Amino acid sequence: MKPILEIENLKTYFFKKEGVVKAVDDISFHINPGEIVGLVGESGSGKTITGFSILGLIDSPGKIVSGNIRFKDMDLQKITPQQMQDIRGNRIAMIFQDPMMTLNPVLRIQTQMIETVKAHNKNISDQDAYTICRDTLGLVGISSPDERMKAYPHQFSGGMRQRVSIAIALLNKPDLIIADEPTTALDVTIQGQVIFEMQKLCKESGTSLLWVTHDLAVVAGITDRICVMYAGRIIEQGATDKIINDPVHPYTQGLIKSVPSKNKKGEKLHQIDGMVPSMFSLPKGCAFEQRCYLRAEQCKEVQPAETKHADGRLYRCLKVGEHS
Amino acid sequence: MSTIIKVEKITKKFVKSLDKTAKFINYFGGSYKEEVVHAVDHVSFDVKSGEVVGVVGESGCGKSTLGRMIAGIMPLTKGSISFKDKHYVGYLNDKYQQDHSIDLKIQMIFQDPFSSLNPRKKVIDIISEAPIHHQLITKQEKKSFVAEMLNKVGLNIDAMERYPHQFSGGQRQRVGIARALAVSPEVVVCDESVAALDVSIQAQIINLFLDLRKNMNLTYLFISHDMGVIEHIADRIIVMYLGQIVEISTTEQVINQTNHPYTKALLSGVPTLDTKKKLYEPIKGEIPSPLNPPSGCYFHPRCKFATDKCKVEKPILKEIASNHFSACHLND
Repeated sequence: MKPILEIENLKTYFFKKEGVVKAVDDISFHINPGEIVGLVGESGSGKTITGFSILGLIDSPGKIVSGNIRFKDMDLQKITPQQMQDIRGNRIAMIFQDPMMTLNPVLRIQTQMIETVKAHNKNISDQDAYTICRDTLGLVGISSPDERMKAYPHQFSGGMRQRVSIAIALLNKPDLIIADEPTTALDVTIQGQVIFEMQKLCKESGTSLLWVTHDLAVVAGITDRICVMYAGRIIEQGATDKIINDPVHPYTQGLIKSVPSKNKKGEKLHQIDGMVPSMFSLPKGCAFEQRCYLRAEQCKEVQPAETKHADGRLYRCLKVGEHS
Repeated sequence: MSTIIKVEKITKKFVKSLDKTAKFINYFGGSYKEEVVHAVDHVSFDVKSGEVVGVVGESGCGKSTLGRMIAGIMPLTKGSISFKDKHYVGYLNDKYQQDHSIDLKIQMIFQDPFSSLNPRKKVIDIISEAPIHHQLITKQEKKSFVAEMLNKVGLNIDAMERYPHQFSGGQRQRVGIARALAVSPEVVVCDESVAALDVSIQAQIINLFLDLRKNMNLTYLFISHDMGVIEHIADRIIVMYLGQIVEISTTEQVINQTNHPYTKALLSGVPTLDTKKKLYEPIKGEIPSPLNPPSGCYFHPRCKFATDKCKVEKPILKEIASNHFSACHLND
């Protein structure tokens, strides 16, 4: 199967007064048609910038320094801004974390939705566009969509608003949806509902999904593959059950062990000491070296390259191979 | 174990009063009504000394309001709270009274480590302000006292000359904890204190809470929306929905012998590190607006077991097993 999205050695840097921030540094991964891939990392690890890079949303002082992003047969780095505009919101859609920010507060839902349809299909009649929008709104679980089409965003609750932005993402039947923390701002029961809808819709339409999140537990149950990011690099990627049940990279191991349900009740949680290094002064070697229990002298000096594990997953660590 | 905090039938009402136009129209026979939200509605429970009580619920269920009332920083509309059998805040003999000598014994740690610290003060002043004001320490002792507090929460001593913006989120939360502990409280109300932190930092702060509990003999009221965190740290769990307690019991009983349908829904909605491709089966509907709560049991529009009785009659909190209370008609 040919991947729908292929990213090779992508580097997105931000050139600031204080220095260069290597927000995304040499990452490679791919998404197959119909696949759900999780991109997991803590704040500042570069997961959102990865999503923005795919859609060409990087603004000055940021810049994609090198690397390839291939979507189907197109090289997204080489196409014109007009062609990118045709892809954005049409073939690749994005759902953002905060539904308060993504919807325009002064426009009715129907105005915003019909606008999305018409932007990519100039010949469609108003009536047809309206029908598509109403049906999609019903699809994401909003009851009485006809009435709701006339409402303004402030008349919806947080969960409903997120459903509207999911509906807008789905309008043009995209091949790929990039969901950036779509459930983080929602309550537990509403989060369950949204995950359920997304899962169902992707399965039915065969849409690929890149789910960006900080919460391993959310992606554990729904993804096929997971990429774990740390300080701008993917430090481990592979099949979900391998990563969750048998992580090899010390950071992934630490993350999974520190989840409360993996610990004995009332006892101290497993913790990763220290904190993420400043992105302005990343060490020469492995960025996780300071917090790692496997660290050795060579980790300070050598940047670990992506290594293939016997079971097919990729990881970046110099010491893992020696222990397994 | 003795009871340290006793909460009796406390209620918090927020009233949005009418504007002049509405009052004017009402004067001529209009029917504008004031909007009233019962953020917390007749809640009673007690906390034993040395216990960790977890309060869970979704946004708008009144858990933060409850925490603030117990910490004494928000007045009650009805009811009373006592501290070690002594009236602390609320109505005593139909008169509103607050015993400020107890204020220091109950401290609060907030959710957002970015907005809860004064950005223009150095850490040394943030931590020492309250103890100096309340004459727990003298100005001469300030430095050594702050050094000791920082040591307790796992920060370096040179942190005291720095400003909050020079710290990361996890470190700021440690400063917030040091500030709360500086007046040697007995009860600490933690309002979503780990929610804003990254996963690896969250574990560090939870561990710090567990350590401090042991070393300083603290009692926690731990407010969170995260069932995983509550399950780990709490001895007893209070589940709230729209300002009312729906279930209260020991952690084991709430988790393993869950009674109330809402608690079940909350538990099943929590994503776990389980790689079996599960299909989420969420509960239906949204949290109703507290301005206009449903009749009968507040949960009935979303409950799949709801009967006709649930629509009209409000269930009361009943003991269904020893120390296990639940407010549901299905238990009758």
